[in-house]
Amino acid sequence: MQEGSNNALYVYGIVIGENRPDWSSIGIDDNQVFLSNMGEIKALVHRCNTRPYNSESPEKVKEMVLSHNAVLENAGEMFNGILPFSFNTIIHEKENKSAEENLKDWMGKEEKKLKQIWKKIEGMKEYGLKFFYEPEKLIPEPEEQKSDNLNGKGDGIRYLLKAKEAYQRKDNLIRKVEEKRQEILNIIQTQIKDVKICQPRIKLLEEKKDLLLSVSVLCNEQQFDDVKKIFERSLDSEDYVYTKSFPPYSFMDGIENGP
Amino acid sequence: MFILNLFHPIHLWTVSKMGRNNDRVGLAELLDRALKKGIILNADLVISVAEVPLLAANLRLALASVETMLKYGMMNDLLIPPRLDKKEINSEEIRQISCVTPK
Repeated sequence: MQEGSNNALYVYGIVIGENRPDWSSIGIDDNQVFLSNMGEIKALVHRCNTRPYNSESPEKVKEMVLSHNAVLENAGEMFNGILPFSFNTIIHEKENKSAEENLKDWMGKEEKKLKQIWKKIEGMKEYGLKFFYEPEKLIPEPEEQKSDNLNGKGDGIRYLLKAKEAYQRKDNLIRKVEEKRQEILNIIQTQIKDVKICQPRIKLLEEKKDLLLSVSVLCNEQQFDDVKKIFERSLDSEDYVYTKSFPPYSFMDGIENGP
Repeated sequence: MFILNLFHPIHLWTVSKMGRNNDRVGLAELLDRALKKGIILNADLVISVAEVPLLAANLRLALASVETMLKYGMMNDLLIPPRLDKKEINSEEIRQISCVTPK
């Protein structure tokens, strides 16, 4: 395995369907992206060496991930769907087989699974929805007269009563958050079948409110518009955000291991 | 170059209701997906992507000030290589990890 030569393949994603030999795109670092066919299953690839893509420059890295995503979006429009690979998937030559042969072997072995998932995602895109809450709105501050109960009590008792009240408030909040979360989830699930609850790894500083629920949904544009309309009517505009469409990264369950 | 321009990053940004923060919210959402999700091959025919944590860290630098994010502990999961125990690493060491030069 030589690092210098272009004996590896960077894989962006898989499409299934009619032949479009004319399709190509420009990928990471202006590389020409082309289709590697295994029957009707096609991988979007560019030739590269065996070194994973990386850079010391955040801007450069951002550009590479955006290029990866742009190729997937381009192909997704053209083929009415896309099975996206995670960023930096590079297949190399092995056991006297070229990277292309290894890729085709894998596509052949996974054909059934790939077709099953394609059926699910064809014509669909992934969208993200995040909902926020303010604890003070869910659990209003205790009224003044409650504090009056503390009058005449000793310091120790006052401390214990306050601690008890705080504990009850926290308990109430957890319950209310769970109720609210379930309520929102039910609304989404009445419109869209494929919903994944996410654990976001990135919290932006401007997200001052607490996160109630973050989901990825797999649906077509019309279905997503319908869901948006429901929340536009029922929630404050600052209580949720939604994304534009993504290739269905979150819905690739079942294709995790190679040969 | 034409195709690249056609898919200028602005095309990907989130349409959110958070006004001026749209681009960063959109990028964060994309990173959450493109780096961690999609088809992930664990087979030995795939190049090891051990450098991905560093790569992810670099992306965070593009999203926000490192100092601020470190202060709030928002980058820890991404900066610390899985083989290291998080509890044993302080902010200074995290900063050093983020500055490692790729091979």
